Amino acid sequence: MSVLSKMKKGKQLYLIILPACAATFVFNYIPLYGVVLAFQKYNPTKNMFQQDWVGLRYFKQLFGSDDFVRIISNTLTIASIKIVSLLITALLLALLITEIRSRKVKTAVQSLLIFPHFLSWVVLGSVVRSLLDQNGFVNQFLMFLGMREPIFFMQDGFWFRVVLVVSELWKEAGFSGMIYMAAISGVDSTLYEAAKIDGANRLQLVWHITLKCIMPFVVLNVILNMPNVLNAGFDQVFILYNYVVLHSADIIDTYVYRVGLAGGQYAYGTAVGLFKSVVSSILIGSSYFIADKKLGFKVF
Amino acid sequence: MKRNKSISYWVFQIVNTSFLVLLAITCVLPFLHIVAVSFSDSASTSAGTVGLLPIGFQWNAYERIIDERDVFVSLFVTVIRMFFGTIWLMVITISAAYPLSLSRQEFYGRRIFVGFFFVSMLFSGGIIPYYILIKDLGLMNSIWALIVGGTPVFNAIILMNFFRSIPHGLYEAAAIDGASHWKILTRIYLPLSKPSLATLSLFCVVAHWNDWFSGLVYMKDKTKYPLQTYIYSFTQYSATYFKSEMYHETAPRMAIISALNVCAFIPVIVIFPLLLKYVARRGIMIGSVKE
Repeated sequence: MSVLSKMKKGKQLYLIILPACAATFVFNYIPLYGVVLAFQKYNPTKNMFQQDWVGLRYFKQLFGSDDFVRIISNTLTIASIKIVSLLITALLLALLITEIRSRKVKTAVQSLLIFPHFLSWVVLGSVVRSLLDQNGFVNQFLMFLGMREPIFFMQDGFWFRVVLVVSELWKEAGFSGMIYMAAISGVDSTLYEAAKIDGANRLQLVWHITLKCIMPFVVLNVILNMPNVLNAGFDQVFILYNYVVLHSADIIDTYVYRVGLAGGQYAYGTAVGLFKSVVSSILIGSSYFIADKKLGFKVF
Repeated sequence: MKRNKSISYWVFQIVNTSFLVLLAITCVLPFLHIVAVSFSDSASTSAGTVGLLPIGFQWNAYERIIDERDVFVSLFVTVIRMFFGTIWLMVITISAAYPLSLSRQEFYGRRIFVGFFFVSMLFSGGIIPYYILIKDLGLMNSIWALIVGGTPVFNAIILMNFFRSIPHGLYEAAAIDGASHWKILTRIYLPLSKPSLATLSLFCVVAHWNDWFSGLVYMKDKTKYPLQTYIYSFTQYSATYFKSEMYHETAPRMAIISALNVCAFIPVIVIFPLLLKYVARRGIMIGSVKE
């Protein structure tokens, strides 16, 4: 069959896929062209295709500023602590919850732990701020236990990062744990029977069978999560931070929003965003590549 | 066989179960606290004495919210965007998932389309080029900016994998009988994948309910904010709201903020059983991608 007749045969398929292609083109590909703004002087009276070029000016501004080192190191620190602690907590939760004997208790515990996942940071942020106020419930409780001074959770750089990590775990650990639980329940039960006959104790069962069987899945998750070292969680940080903790909490995304979009420096903001996008796509590309080569993971 | 459960096993069971139950309860206590604050009076909210039960019980905060027209307008905006936004995303998801679920022989040029979508997964323009796109499209300050957009690719991959789990014999039989692709999709694939479609739509609905950022960026008019953006804005700049009356005399600021938050999470609690039912299924779907 010739190319043309093959295409004719699938004519209807092209019509069916057209809406998805059109949407992807408009909302993903045009903004990709839009990054040329990083090399232009933005004039709001003209559209995307009519701007004047200025070369690498905004990248020089970015790499020359103190902000650059600060936002990069904040992003990497906050994001990597979050990723590692979320992985460990979720795995532990999954292993411990599976051990609960009563099915009802198991479901109840799981449901309560998953609940915060479905709320927005607007709501969770208000809750966190209200609880951790210097007059808030947590400080009242700590004073009751005998602490003299309240902790300024939201004003102290160190404590603020602790708040970011713990509140992230509060929101996501139950949900991630549930995905690992699905993997654990898929482990072949005859393996356990065999090991029991060989005299393995419970800890050995968990270590040698459960963990070993879900390891490929865990590794896949870690690899696919790797690019997130650049995503420290815009919503959460943006809602919780304030000017006092800016030096230890400002991440790339909040910087782009605050300086670029809200501050009106569109071209400079685009340059910062482009820097992130480029590093990010290298990371995403290599994570898919590794997942494909090592674990045979196919996206499509 | 039951007798070989040792004492140490039962000790572990008790410690483990009570630890997890306590942890789970601790995770939802903050929400009870917020409910308590929303019903408490000014003196106790500012002194921080409210725990899990309201002190100086009042419901002025809720009365103030019900009096405020903007709250209802924002709720209306949210419902509209939820409805049309979900339809929009589901249509483009199905549109990509069906052809891609077919083999290269059945869908000539599949590779080119896979490449096209894969590139959109790898690269993103970032928020400012997207903002300028919305502006150039003339969607600024229009509810359409909250409805359209987003990428179908991630949902399409999940749905594509589900389509592939449908026995291929059905497709072949229908094709031999002369059914068009449109017929195969609407008469066979879609009815068979109702659970998956429900799961994806439900997640989309929740995402729209929770989204506050696009409202903040694309809506210049405060009266066009969706509910979550309204709450965000109220929390940040509450001094400029309700200025027609001295609202803090009848209800404290903290109580109103808490009451708004309660309004934002009550609907999530209502659909939570449904979410739980589908979430297990989605967990399995994510897990099965590895095959």
